[in-house]
Amino acid sequence: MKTIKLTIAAATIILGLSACKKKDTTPTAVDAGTGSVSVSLDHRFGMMNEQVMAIDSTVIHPMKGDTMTFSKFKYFITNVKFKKADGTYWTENESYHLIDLSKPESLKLTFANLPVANYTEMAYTLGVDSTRNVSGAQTGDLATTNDMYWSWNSGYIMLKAEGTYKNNKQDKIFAFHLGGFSGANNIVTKRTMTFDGSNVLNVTKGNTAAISIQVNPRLLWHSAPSVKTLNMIHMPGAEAKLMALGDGGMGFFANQLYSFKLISVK
Amino acid sequence: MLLEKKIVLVGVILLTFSCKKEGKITPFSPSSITFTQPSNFPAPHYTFENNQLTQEGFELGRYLFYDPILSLDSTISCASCHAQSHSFADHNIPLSKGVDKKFGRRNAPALFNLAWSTSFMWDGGVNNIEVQPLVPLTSPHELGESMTNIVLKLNRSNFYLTKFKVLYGSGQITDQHFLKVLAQFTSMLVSSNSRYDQYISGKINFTSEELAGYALFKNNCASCHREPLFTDYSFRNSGLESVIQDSGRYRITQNTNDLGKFKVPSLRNIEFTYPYMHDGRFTNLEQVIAFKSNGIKNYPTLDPLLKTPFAFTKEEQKALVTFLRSLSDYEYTSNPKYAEPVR
Ligand code: HEC
Ligand code: HEC
Repeated sequence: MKTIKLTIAAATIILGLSACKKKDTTPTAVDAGTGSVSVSLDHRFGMMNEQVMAIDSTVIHPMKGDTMTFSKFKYFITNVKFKKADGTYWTENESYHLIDLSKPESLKLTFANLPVANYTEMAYTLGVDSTRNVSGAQTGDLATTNDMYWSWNSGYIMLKAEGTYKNNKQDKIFAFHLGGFSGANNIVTKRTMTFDGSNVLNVTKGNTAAISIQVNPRLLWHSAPSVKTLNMIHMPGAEAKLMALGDGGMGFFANQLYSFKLISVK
Repeated sequence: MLLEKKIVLVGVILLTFSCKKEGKITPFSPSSITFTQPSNFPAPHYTFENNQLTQEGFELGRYLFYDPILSLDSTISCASCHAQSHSFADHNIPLSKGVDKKFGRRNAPALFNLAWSTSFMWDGGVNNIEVQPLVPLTSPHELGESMTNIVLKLNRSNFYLTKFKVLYGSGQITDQHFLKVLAQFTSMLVSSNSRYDQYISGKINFTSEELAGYALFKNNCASCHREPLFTDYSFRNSGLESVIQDSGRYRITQNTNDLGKFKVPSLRNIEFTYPYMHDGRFTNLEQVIAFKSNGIKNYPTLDPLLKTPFAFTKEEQKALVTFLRSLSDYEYTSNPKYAEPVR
């Protein structure tokens, strides 16, 4: 006990003495400069992304035929990294983004200060890593005021889809809160998007490279039944996995082909 | 002790003045305090990582714990259901009432030694002390508020704005800062000065009845109610029912092996916290011991340690109760550090 206290005391003094040390001014290697990358997310529905998905507008599920109107659609994109042609990564700090269909500003992510280079891949995660689910109170997009946290069963709601569907001409409510970060209930999914062919991601000095992506959540209901059969999920478990991961990887989080489609890089 | 304090002070003063030359004024910095681990306790689970413990933070947490501003209609505070005189359990009622004047589902547990706890609530659904308050704050049967509204209310209070600014240097109170300081108060609630602790450290002798009770306890109870914290934090079905009313741990894991399992409660300060069990079904310790002795009901998930009745004699039951009373820490229930602060 005593040694701890003394260490703290000593540390405080050192802090006190060093608090004003001048900033390190050694010049770094010749600076090729930095640029930015923006990622725009355009939400779509339907088999061919032909239906525009927006809050309070009605879409029809191409496989299940359900007529659905979303009042809320929110999910987390996290731990974003860009891979350079030389195989190294630029990693965003504190990389937690809450995408909220009702907030246009959340649909465009901007990454600043990437070293000038040619990038071949964006790596990202759908959901919130297990560490942040067990490390107490967080801030920013992970703040509890964003209503994406389960209090009674600690953990992030990684995707929230709420709204109404038509059942015999009547409006009924649906509410899907998907999460689960550990063991058999884990739905956190690491994904990549490659840039090649006509879609080369070149970050040049002082410029912003703009990536456009269409996001199609129809695969939430690829393996899961019609909303007429299952209209509520409020905890991690088998049902949440069916929507996020799906059978044979055909869920919204797991599928790399249809959920997030690269449209252009400019 | 005094010397250390002085050294810290010198450091703090240095911190405050070392930037003067550049014309910047460093804001008043709060004073660090240390978490004291009782000599007979293991290392705590919560280590204040990312939550620098300070006197001001602890005090702020204490104000909040006692402040009904946290409830929807400003009638109820944490302390309404967690009273110091009862070792921070409710006032000897089986179930607590929230803002909706309705009873909750479970008995409000005593609060102490939470820094050692690996999970919170009877079913262990909460995994970190910092996020525990979200349950009572947002439950309609407790404080009935939303986090957004609480943050809004705190930001409208000059009292809290000033105090949070000292700590975090920001003119805006966030939910994170609020939860961190509340955790500073709750995790600093340490109870370690019962007759039992004094006996263990050789300061006093146990009576012969306490000794007999302690021996029985070590043989029959300590595998779940493990010393010195008097819980091993595991989830067990202790045989309360043959038809499950409250699914317990199952609610969190959805695993049928967890049906009817609850977190083993600590037995420290047990004398102050009646009624007992997750639903407050027993009103005194004699009833609990009689149940443990001969009343355990069978169920597929019943803990193997409880399959054969203990069948204690009357004397043994009395000795066990006497031993349990040696776990009362009167210093804890009257410690002014934890009492309602004056404003
Ligand atoms: C209406 C009564 C009520 C209020 C108000 C209340 N609690 Fe509780 N508290 C309970 C009940 C009941 C439980 C047990 C619930 C369960 O296990 O399901 C509990 C459990 C806890 C626990 C878990 C203890 C453990 O060992 O697992 C902590 C910590 C706690 N409360 C702190 C607080 C704080 C901090 C506040 C104020 C923000 C608060 N409580 C407000 C009734 C209340
Ligand atoms: C197999 C593990 C286990 C053993 C062995 C065990 N207990 Fe318990 N005990 C529990 C659990 C679990 C609870 C909480 C049950 C509930 O509320 O659902 C509990 C509750 C209690 C309570 C009430 C605590 C409160 O705050 O409400 C007391 C008192 C108690 N036990 C005493 C004893 C004594 C004395 C013995 C030995 C004769 C003993 N226990 C043996 C698991 C055990």
